Amino acid sequence: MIFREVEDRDLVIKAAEGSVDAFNLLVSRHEKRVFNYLLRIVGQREDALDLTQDVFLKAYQNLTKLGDVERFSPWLFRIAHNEAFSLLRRNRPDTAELLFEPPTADLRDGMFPVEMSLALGRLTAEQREAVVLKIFQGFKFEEMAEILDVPLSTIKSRLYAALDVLKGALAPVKG
Amino acid sequence: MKRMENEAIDLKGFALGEGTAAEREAARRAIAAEPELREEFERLELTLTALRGVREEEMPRRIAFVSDPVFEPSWWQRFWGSGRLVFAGVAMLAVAIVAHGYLVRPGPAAVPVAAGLSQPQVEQAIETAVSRAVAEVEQRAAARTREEVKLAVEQSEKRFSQELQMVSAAMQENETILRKQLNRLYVTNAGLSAGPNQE
Repeated sequence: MIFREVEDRDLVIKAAEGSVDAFNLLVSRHEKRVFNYLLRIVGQREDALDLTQDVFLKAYQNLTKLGDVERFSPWLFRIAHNEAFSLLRRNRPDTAELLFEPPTADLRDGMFPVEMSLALGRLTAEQREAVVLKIFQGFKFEEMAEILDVPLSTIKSRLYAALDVLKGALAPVKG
Repeated sequence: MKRMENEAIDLKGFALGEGTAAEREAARRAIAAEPELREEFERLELTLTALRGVREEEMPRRIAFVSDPVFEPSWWQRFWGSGRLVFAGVAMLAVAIVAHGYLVRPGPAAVPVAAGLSQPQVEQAIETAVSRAVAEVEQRAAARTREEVKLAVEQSEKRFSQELQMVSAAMQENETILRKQLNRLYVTNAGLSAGPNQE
C-alpha cells in the first residue's frame, strides 16, 4: 500500500491540535538543518545544540500562533535567528556591530577548510547569516526577508557584499 | 551602452538561482556574449561550488523533549484543541432546543368529550394520546441516537486511518534515515578496508 508522504503542513495542523507524535516528526525533519544553521552562526557545538532545543520548545509553545501552516520552515528559522542573535548579544553586549567569531580549532577542522574559514571570518555576522541561509540552507530571497524581517534589498546587499569578499578569497582573479 | 546593459544584469542573483525566467534568459545571453561577464560568472560559480561542498555536521545527539510528558498539553488543552468542547456545546444547545420544544409546546388538543362519555372513558382516551406521543418521541430519539453512533463510528474510522497513515510515514522516514546511515557506514568501512596503498 502506498501512502502519500505526510507534508509539513499536515504535521503542523496535527501538532497544533496537540499531537506530540506529529511534532516529534517535525523535529526529526528539521533539527539537523536548524542545528547546522545555528552552529554556523554561533560557532560552538554545545551552544548550537542548546539553542536548537530552545528553538523547538518555543516553536511547540507558539505553534498555534503560526498564521500560515505552509510557512513553517521560515517561521522556525525566524525563531532560530532570534535565539542566535540573542545569544550573540548576551555574549557581547557592548559591541555595536556583531562580528563573527571564528570557530574554535576543533570545529574549524571538522567544518570548514582553512581558507574558507578565514574567508568566512572576514564577514560580519549578518553577511555570514545571509550566506548560511541562502547557500547552505537554500532559502529563497523572499523567505530570507521573512526570516530576518528586513527588506529584500537589504538581503541582496548583505549577500552580494559577502559574495564579493568570498570570491576574492576563494576564486581570485587569474594572472 | 553595452556596459550599462551588463550592469543591469543581476549576475549574482542568476548564479544563486534567483530571478524571473526573462531575467535569467537575459543573464544567460549576456554571459554567452561577454567574455568579462563570463569570467566573473565562472568565479562566482567556483566560489559557490566551494561553499556548497562544505558538509553538514551530524548532530552530537538528538534533541529530545517531545517524548517528555511535561510538554504534553493538558487534558483541558487537548479537549479544547480537538474541538470536542465546541461539539459538546452545540450538542447541549440542540438537546435544550428539542427539550424546550416538547416541554413548552401547547399540549395535545383536548380530547373532545362527547356528552355522555364517562370519566373512565375520558381517562382512557387521554392515556392513549399520551402513549402515542411518548412512542413518537422515543422513535425520534432512537433514530437520532442511531445517526450519532453512525457518525461517531465514521469519525473514529477516519481518525484511525489518518493515524495509521502518519505512523506509516514516520516508519518510512526512519527507514530512509537508517538506510542512509547504513550506506554511510558501508562506504566508510569499504574505504578503511581498501587501505591507502591499494592502487
